Amino acid sequence: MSVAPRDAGTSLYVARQKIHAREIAGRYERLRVIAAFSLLGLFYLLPWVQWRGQQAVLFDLPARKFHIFGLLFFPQDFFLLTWLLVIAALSLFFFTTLGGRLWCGYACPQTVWTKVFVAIERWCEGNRAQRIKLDRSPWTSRKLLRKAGKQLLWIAFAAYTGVTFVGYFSAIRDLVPAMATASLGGWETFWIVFYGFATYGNAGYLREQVCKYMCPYARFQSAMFDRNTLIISYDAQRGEPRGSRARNVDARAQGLGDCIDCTLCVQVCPTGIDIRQGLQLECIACAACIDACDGVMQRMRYAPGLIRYATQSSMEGKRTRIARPRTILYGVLLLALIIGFGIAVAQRDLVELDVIRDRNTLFRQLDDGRIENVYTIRLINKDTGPHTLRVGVSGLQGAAIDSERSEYQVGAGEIISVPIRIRAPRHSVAGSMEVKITARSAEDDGPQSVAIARFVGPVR
Amino acid sequence: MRAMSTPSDPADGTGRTWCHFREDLGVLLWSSFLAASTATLLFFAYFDPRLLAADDDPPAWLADRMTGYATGFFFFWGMCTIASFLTAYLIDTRPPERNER
Repeated sequence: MSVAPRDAGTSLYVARQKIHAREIAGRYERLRVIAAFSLLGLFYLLPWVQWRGQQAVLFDLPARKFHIFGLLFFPQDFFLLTWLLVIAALSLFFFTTLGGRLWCGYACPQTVWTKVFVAIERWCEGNRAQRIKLDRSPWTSRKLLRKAGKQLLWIAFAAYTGVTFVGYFSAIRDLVPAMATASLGGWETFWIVFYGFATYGNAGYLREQVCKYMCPYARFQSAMFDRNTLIISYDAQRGEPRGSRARNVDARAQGLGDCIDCTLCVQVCPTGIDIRQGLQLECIACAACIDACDGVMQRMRYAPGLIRYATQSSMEGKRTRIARPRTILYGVLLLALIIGFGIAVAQRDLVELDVIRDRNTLFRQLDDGRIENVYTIRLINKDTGPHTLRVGVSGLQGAAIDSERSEYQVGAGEIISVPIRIRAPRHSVAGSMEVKITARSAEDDGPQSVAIARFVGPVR
Repeated sequence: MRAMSTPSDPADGTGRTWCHFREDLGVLLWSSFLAASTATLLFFAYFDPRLLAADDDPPAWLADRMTGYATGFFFFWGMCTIASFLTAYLIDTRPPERNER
């Protein structure tokens, strides 16, 4: 393994030449625009959605409570998040095996934000040719105006992205007014700037270099490919030998294939590769070259699809198999995990009970001979409404709770800590025993929770 | 592991010094960022920054949770960067093997 690239003199991390991707229209471009709009719309609008008088999706880190459409999660539910991440990873594997780098081309935040930043750039600086000309031209007031306008829009968009991001962790309806009155908290300001800067740098400058040099997924995605995976393919059999020709000439008679070598597929490529050399690691499967080539084929009155989504099998004239051991395994696993996750969320205890033994004394013997242990119990109500919880003890003969109250009112999403004393007759205790503490909702069929605690007494 | 399209190493083996330090710093910071994010997530899922300060005299910077999270994150990031840096440095500066050209 070599860590430092040694192609001396050239840099790996800055494009050797700035890539000015040519703009393109076509059906996959339409799909990409639709995907970008829906995903960004979801990201920017979701924090503003209210649910029962509260922000619907709020990961309230300061309070360590996570609200998702009326469901309340605590850090104790962390395994659910892990579960969700496993589902996400497996979905990625599943869809990669079927459709190649669909994620990269349509859904990855890097792709989606880059798309917006490129659109802003195009709006300010013009199309590819105009941009190249502008970059080469000396600094005139016109160039300054266009570059400054672009920067201003980029920064504004990046800053608002930062605000929205922080809005997922700190109520956005308080955040935006606080910004207007300049009364934002220190850390909130810091993270807005941090995230805004990351957006600006990643989408404005790094762009597809992130995919080439920084993305771990890009490096291992090819391990999930097989001959039946959908990839962007150039039909070499049909296209070669490539060459330019007049429009009305019979290419076959001249010994030419369908590729007119217009290099449009290279010009539109955001990673600057030539798809005609076959599948390459840099290809993020954005399908811009398909759109470009189909447009050319149409103008040449050739059939579209010289570059197309195809599997290696179909390129070789064989049948593409969707159901194969790998996809079946991923599919079954994924389905099982999703069902399991649904059950785990639906079945989770809405009331939770934590018991912490008093650390100072093991036990105390009362005047009447009974043994007393002291605990602190934490009652957690994850439900959306308040609960009156009745605390009881069982599993130890004659044990009872000695407390001023036996019922506790716990509001929605509240955690309360109460000290309790459990007393048991001398004859039922011998050394360390187990005792069952329950918190039961006062309503019929209400939620309840049980915890096992240690009850310590003198050894008989 | 190398990207497919990058040119291969110069065969004379002259590249033994770390000539891409600045570029590699990006990779170091980025990979440690990923590791640190995961570490922060896991760590603070189990430990409440306020409980960590359940001491007689909690330091002021641990008093509120946001500061605790941020401090934790930058601590992890720093540590991961050190580890990445040392890894890269040691791999890059190890003496050439005898039979290597």
